[in-house]
Amino acid sequence: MDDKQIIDLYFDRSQHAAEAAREKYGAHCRAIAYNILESEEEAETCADGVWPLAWEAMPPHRPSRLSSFLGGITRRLALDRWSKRSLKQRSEGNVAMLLLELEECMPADLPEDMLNEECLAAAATAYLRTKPLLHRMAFIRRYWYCNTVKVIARQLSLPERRVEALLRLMREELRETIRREAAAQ
Amino acid sequence: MKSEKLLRALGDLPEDLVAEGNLRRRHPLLRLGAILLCVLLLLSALYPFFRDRIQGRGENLPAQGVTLRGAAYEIWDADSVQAQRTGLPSAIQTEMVGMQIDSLDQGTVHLYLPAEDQNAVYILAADNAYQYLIFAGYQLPGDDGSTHVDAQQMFLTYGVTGAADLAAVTWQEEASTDPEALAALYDALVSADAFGEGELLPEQETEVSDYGDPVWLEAANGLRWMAYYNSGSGLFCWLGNFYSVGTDFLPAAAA
Repeated sequence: MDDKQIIDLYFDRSQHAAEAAREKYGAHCRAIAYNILESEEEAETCADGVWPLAWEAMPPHRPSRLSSFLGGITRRLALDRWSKRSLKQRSEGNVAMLLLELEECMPADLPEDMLNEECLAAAATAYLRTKPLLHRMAFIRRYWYCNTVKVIARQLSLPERRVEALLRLMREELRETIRREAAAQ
Repeated sequence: MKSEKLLRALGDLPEDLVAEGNLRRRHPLLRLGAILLCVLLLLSALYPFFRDRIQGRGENLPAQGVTLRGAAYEIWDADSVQAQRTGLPSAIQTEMVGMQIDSLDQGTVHLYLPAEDQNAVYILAADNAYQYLIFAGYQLPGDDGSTHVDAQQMFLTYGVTGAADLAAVTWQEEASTDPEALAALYDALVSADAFGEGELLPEQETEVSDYGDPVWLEAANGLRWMAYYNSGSGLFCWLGNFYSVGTDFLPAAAA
């Protein structure tokens, strides 16, 4: 079943909508949740929480990319779940590494209240739109899908060192973009 | 941490950007392989077009459908010969006039100018039926005083199959001047479609005895020609790739 048909089921308030979405994107959502939570059980629980939220969102929202939309719900749920972990648990694992890396994107000289989520999202979007597809793929796989560098290297048929260097460069460039966006506000 | 704010903010990236992160990327070697395959397919499709140029062959002469092999040539019709010939050494001009009067009767004169030697000129004459004879070859020294060189040698060097084909040529002098035998050979070769694209068509068989003794030319690449050499006027040739028909049609002494 294609995405349009699944979305139409939601808009028609069909009982089969969630089933169809789960069948097509269940594994996708579990994978995103696992990248963040690093636990099969928690990833399963998190993914199960996607379908009621998708039911509430559609309608009125009609996603242009159903995979991204459902994946986004999953990501939020997974990060919320992660943030409830103990300090010790949060200091280890993939997300801890992600946060350390993304810290490099945040201009140290700018106060935090100048950097709201809306501004950051806009800056990241503007920056990514200027980059080649391969760069965008690497960045989003790392910082949206939360894949590890090893997995990204395999998926993009690149050496790990190349992926690390690419992401490092992009973090530096994103930092400057965020600085400019914050200054422009 | 500020970075947690950024991590969450990235969740609001547009859906199309997020979807790109899920795209598959083909292995670079696969992409390179696909590109190489496309290039090879393109080259093989274009090869027939460039083949003649690569091997120094000429283009189809207009209105004849016969490919004259050679790197370059000019076509002059009977009317323009008079105007053009003033630029050529006198020996060539004489030949051309002679051809016009004696042989061509409203035919055309062609000059074959091989790219390999800018001083070499072949004069090719054609009759009304556009059957070609290589009339003579000349080596131009650059001024009027050209030498009527051995057309046979010129032909071997810059001949219609191209210089690259003539790694070595042997002459087999045969005494066969039997017009009937030669006519039969010609008929057999035509029947066997020996004269494909690029071959010069043979002269009508009834006149062969007037041209001198025939010789067989066999190139190292298997090409065989039957040629008539007239030491007074140059080399008249019947040409063809006999290799495609084997030796059955050749006279026993030459096989």
